[in-house]
Amino acid sequence: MKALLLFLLRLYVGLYMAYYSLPKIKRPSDFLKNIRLYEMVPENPPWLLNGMAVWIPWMELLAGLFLVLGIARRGAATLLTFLLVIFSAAILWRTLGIFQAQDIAFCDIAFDCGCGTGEVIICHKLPINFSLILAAAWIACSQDRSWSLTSKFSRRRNETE
Amino acid sequence: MLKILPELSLFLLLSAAAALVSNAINPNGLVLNFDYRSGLQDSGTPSDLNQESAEPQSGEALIQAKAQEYGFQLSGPEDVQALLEEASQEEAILILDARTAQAFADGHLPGAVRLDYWEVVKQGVDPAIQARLQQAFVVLIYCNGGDCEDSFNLAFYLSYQNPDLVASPELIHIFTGGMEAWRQLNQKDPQGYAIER
Repeated sequence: MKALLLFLLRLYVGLYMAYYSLPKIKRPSDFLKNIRLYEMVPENPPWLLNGMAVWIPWMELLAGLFLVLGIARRGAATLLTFLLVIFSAAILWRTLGIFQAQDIAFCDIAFDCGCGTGEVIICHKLPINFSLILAAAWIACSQDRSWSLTSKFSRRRNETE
Repeated sequence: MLKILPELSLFLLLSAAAALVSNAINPNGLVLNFDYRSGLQDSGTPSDLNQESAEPQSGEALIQAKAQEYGFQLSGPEDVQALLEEASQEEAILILDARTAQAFADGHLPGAVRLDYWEVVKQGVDPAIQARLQQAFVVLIYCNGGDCEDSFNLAFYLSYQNPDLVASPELIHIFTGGMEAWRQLNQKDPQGYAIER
């Protein structure tokens, strides 16, 4: 039962991250515009911010796909947990900034967070991210190798030996 | 934890390699060492360097202030209407849409030519448009309006970063309201503020 639950969580986190990385890979300029708004990475030298805009979506895609397939899944889950914690903290920070600067209810705040989803209501986005972080962290800590390609390979190797 | 390190390194290396390859072949990819907002940065402006710097600005106000500083003309909807009327008879007026292909396909100013700033930096200006730019005596550039920076960035690219493309920055007009303002006016007066698809 636990193995099945872990597999479903792998599908949830992996497919979510991989799917939403695709628009960012297709048009990195839009992602670049979004991450610049967080002011977390210096604008100079330019390759730093440009490189992040090109690199991060590929981390998400590969880690997401590997998580689904069960290859190096703990490394993939650790990387995704790390990325999701940073993204969520940045989104929360920016939302609080908007909340303080404008006379607007917290749950009415919506912007394109650079998550690949377009403009989202942050009150909806943050719980989703929180669930993704919990799921990814649990996968990262779990030793269970069921429903993964690596477990199939190692079983076959043991049989041949 | 230590067991995960090789896996993490594998992801970082694999994703970096994939990112570099995909960025090189993607027509919408980035030029990694290019400063896409160099015109909007504080340094390197042609204004008096001894001048006291004003309050920090952001978004729309910053774009308008920088546009004036660089000698670009700022145009409102009425100016654009007049230019469009002239452009229908005069080849030397060029209307440039700095937005994406999708946004352009959803509707643009009549007679506009698409010149996506991000694509231009990567691929250069199409020779046909280059020839028209060099002959133009008015180049009107727009994007979505509001805090959209692409029209300003394209103007800066065409006149300062590649000064052989447009003879003088004063020839460039930036439609500050952009497509957002035009769409709103189009809802009230579809003939006067026509949108081409």
